Amino acid sequence: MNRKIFLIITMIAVTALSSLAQGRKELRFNEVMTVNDSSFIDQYGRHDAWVEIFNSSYGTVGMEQMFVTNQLIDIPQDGPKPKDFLSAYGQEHPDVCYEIPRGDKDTKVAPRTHVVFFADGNTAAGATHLSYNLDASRENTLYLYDVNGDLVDMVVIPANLPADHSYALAQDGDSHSVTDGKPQFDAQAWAERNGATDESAITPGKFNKGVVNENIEKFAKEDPRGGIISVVAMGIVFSALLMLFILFFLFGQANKAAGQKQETDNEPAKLAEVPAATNGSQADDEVMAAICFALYQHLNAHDQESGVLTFDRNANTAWSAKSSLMRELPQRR
Amino acid sequence: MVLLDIASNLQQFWHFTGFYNCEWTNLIMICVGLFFIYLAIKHDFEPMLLVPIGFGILIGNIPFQPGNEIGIYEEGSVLNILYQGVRQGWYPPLIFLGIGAMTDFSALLANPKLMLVGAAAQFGIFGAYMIALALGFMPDQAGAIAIIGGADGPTAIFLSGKLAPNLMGAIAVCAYSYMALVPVIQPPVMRLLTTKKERLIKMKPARKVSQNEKILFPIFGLILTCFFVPSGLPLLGMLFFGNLLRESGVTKRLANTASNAMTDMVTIILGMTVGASTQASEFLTKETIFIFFLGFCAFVIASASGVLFVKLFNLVLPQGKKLNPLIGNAGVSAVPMAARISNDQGLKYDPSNYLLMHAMGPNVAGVIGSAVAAGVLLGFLG
Repeated sequence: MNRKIFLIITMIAVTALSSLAQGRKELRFNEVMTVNDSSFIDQYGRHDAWVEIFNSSYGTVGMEQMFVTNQLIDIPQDGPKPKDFLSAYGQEHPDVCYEIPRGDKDTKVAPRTHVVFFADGNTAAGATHLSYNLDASRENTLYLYDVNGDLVDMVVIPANLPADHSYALAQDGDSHSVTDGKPQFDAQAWAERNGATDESAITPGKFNKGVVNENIEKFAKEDPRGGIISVVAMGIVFSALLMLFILFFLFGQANKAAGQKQETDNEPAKLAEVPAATNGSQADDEVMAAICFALYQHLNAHDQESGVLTFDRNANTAWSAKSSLMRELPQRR
Repeated sequence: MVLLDIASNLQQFWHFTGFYNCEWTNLIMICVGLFFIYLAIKHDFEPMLLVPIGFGILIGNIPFQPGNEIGIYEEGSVLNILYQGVRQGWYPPLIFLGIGAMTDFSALLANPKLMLVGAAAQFGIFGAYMIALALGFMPDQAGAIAIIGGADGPTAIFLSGKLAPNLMGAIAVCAYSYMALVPVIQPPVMRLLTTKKERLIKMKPARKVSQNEKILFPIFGLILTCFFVPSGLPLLGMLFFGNLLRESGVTKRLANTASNAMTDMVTIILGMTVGASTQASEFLTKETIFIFFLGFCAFVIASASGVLFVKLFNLVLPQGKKLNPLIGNAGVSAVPMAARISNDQGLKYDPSNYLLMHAMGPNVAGVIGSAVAAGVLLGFLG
């Protein structure tokens, strides 16, 4: 028994961990700004370079113990665990590797939302402050590592981005190609943004591309009074119920015909039943009907036929009743 | 020094209290909640719904300082977790499972043409949709508001949660309020649109419905309606599944659980969280007034279109098979309240004219019709 419980717990743990890992694989670098003069401010009112990460999954993802680095780290295959290696590397080289600490609410990313990290080299300011700055004069490459050392995503930021210009994915969380199990950077999916128009808006913590429901736009434009949609929708509602009507009208006819045939076949037997059914005054029948109806209402009993109350006799005894046999299994104490 | 510390702590505590954070809008909403509870307890207006919603309004409008994971809109709070069932649309299909398990469709199967009455009454939804557009709502918001005309709370919550989540609290409260007020809204419309002669029409007693028909109905019902409107699958699928549990005759325990224990549990949580979602800042807006106005229009149009459709239908039906137009109002899916109103009105003009079972046909067809209509709107605007 103990082995079974152990197996079940292990299976649940493995499933939970794999689903957690799956969620982390859906994190994406989404937008970055290397020179922030007058754009987005942190919680202390400071303008720092920032990096936005998007949770493209439909579940909340905790980022604790993931690593954001600005250089590719070669994790040895036969050394310490990747997590321990990266952790130690981060402590030795805080200028290139930042381990996201545990237990911070800000690094739990709700489904389809964003988290913004500030590259200010000031980890004391909070879990969303990286341990290094970004040098805007050179090309920066950022990497996101999972706790097990898997590379989750990467982005190559061009050198000399103008001040207050960002570099962003055109479509939030756009899927990247993967080669040999490693994500590849697709420069085509990224573009510089200057904030001058809606299309080039700088959107830290928000969607890069406004979510537009094309259907709604279309109906607002093409059918502003709602006449077309009303006629079409009523047509669909009528059609669905008309089909049901036709089908069950035919069923009813077939049922009626079958019932008439059965009545003809059973006529002698039915005649024999009549005296028994009418045995007693009409008043008694009404009383019986009232009792039956009251019982029906009270018990919400299920009828085999409309208007006929069906009693199920319980033929089970205490020896054979299923309910009496449902006992607890003997337990070792 | 110690005294200063204590004073500082007390001041901090004071800032956490509801008295400090209270605004007049909170007090208004608390009064609304109390009014709902009063209506439910004193006047027996849909108590199963108005008590949880009314109390939910009290819960949702207790003032507090944000940031402590207390409120329904604060991620991670208990209320927020329960609210996800409303927000993501988990509860309405579960309620539909229960409705399916407790609904006897035999009145409809005995006279299948009543399905068309249930379809006609859905014009209330689309009539309200057009008025909402004229009032300046966007198509998705208009669709979410218009579904109030279906007179079906779970459907209204399901659709508004998908199309206009910010309006869902107001839409749900409006839908349930008008469902409770069906006995007030519908009779004048029915009287206005019918003549005395029409109100006296006696309908033939319904035929017997075989068990086979009852079993086939949920199966074919699902296939036919969902092939037309796959977006209605969560509601229609659960409705017909619940009905098959009931009618199959071999899953009584499951049907009992679905129609009793489970429906009760979901109703409690759904009602309470919908009530709690009506926080003053979200609820006391100009849109809410429009929503209540549009909801009223939707109910009136739905009732009227059901009655008028029966009158129109009677023009082609042979003598002796004509329908009493007083059952037309039951095409909205407020089950069984709307059917009871048909019966009451029928008895008022002829004490021997019992219309209840006849009206149950369009009434349950209205449940299917409003779910199909919701699916259509979701398909177009979602």
